[in-house]
Amino acid sequence: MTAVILIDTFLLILVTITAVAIIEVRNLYASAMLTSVYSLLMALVWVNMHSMDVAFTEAAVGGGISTILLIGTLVHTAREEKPQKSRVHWKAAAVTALCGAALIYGTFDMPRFGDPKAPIHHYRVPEMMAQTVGFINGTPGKQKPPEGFDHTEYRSFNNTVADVPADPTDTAWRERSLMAQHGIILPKVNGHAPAHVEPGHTHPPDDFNGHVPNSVTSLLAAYRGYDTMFETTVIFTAGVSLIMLLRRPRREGYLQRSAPLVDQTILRVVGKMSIPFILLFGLYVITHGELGPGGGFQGGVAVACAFILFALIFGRPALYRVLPPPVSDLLTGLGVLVYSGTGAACLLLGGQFLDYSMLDLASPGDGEALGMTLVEYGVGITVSMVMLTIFNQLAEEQST
Amino acid sequence: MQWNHIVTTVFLALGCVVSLTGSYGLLRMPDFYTRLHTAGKTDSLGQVLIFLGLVFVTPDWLTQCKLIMVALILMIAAPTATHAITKAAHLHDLRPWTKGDPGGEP
Amino acid sequence: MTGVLGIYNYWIYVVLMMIGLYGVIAKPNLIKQAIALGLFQTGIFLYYISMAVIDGGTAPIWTTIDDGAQKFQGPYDNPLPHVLILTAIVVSVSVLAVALALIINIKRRYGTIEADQIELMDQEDRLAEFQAGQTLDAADAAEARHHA
Repeated sequence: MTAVILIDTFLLILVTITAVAIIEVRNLYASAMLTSVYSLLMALVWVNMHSMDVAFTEAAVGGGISTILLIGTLVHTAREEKPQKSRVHWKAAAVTALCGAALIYGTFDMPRFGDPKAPIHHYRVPEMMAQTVGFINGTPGKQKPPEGFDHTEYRSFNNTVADVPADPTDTAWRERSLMAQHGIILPKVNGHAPAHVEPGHTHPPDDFNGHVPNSVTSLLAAYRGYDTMFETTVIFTAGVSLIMLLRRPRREGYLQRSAPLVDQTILRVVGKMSIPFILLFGLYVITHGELGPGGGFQGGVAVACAFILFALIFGRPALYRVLPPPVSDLLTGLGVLVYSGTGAACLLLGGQFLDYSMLDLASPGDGEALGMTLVEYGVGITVSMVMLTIFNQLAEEQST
Repeated sequence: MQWNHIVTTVFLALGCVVSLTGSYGLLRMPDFYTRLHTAGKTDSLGQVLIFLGLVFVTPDWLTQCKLIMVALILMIAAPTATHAITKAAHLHDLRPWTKGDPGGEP
Repeated sequence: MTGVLGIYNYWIYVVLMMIGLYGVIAKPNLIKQAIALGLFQTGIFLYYISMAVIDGGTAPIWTTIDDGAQKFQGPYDNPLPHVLILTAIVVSVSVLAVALALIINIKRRYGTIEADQIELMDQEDRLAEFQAGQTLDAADAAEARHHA
């Protein structure tokens, strides 16, 4: 009964109660607020499970942007749900109960929560976690290990944890990775290694020369870079869809009647004080995605929040003077262009698409880290401008 | 027990007690303004106390600075949020509860 | 730590998913359905992240000290599900945004966002067109001419 399990149980009970309340409450504004509370509780659950990037994204995106979008929509649509004939929809309850029972029956085969020998932690994942995919497997173009480097000593998973014996009768997984074939089973790290010496900063040698401690970002931007590129395209598509669905051309341009809060002294002063810091923090989060929790998505949402705060306090005409819609539309596409442009640059430099090691031939690890920074900026630009575009479209008054 | 652990425990306990009191007040108070009075003030204080309490057990100075900065931001932002909600209700002509009104439903 | 304690996390994810699914099926209000879809998605996220936790682990961020040695000598959590869920969270908010834009347009067209009333209006439209003896295309062409 570890602390993780205790806090987990408590939070998940709260989460379930909030979920039931979201579905049953009739007032839609209350439902939107409860969704925000739900996102905060889920972010706490993620923090408890040591997944900082996911918690950051859930808090920013679920608790921040989703609530703004829902409230912006509720202004245009209804305020309350129509009352239903019967309190519980019995057929739906029966179907979901059956489906839930089947799924619960399926979970009996899952490895227990926290099992270090679960199959998910094997095959390719230990190499991805150690950031040695290209380094040890010797993919062409990647960084080669220094002379006399013994990969079983450093950043390899060559220990069995003392209290978990290796099971010779275990045949649950057929495929084993290179690491596992050498008797390396568990993702437990040890290592004192020949370090890569740079003036002022020593890194261990791996795929990124030690520049990217955050292995979630290294997976996101480098090892699964295609995934992230198309996901940026998904966000861009959502922004384009919003523009196509909701934007009406106006005779008098983009300026329109709105009710700014400029005469509210406290809000105006505090807003003016906070907006530069929020913008700076957003850029900090995008840039430091490699070194700690963060990255393009979280930082992009923070930058968008700064602009949305400006729009709420000083009015949307003021926002359109600062950031005209043609500029924000252009920037949404620019982020995707930066991402795929980095990939194309690597292609033109002689490597494969999104093979960032081509960006710095003298030291491929540094090239990989540079490529990751560039693509994180691309993601951040697109996400921030798309969130701002979505807010603008949902906040417009009806013209029909 | 080292002194910084004791100080942190005191701060965290105070912060928790303050937040719990605010939540209890949210349930017991009769109308919108009184509820916001309890919840807003105690939330601001509770958050700041918890963050300042964590400063004492953090090993490196950079994280301590970040925690203090977050506490400062919360000291500014949370009362502003309370003010914004109250002002919005006031501008929409929500009357405060007076003694003798039927009130107090959650 | 076997038995229920070992897998109740997975049961909670099933419960959350089923609450979301119930909301989508049972509630005719379109915004409620959009919110319930988001609830369904967070249930899936819970499932993936629960699979990534390792006993005694910490966040998958290397904590080195200056000679390259590791500060934390224990297992790190599996980062691969974190990556997948990060993209999934942002995709879920994109889906929510497009769904809400469609709901606003539906409100403009039909005047209501309750699915059963919308279906009733559609049936009345189709009945009126059938009774007037026109095909659907001709009716649309007539509407386009009328609006232009």
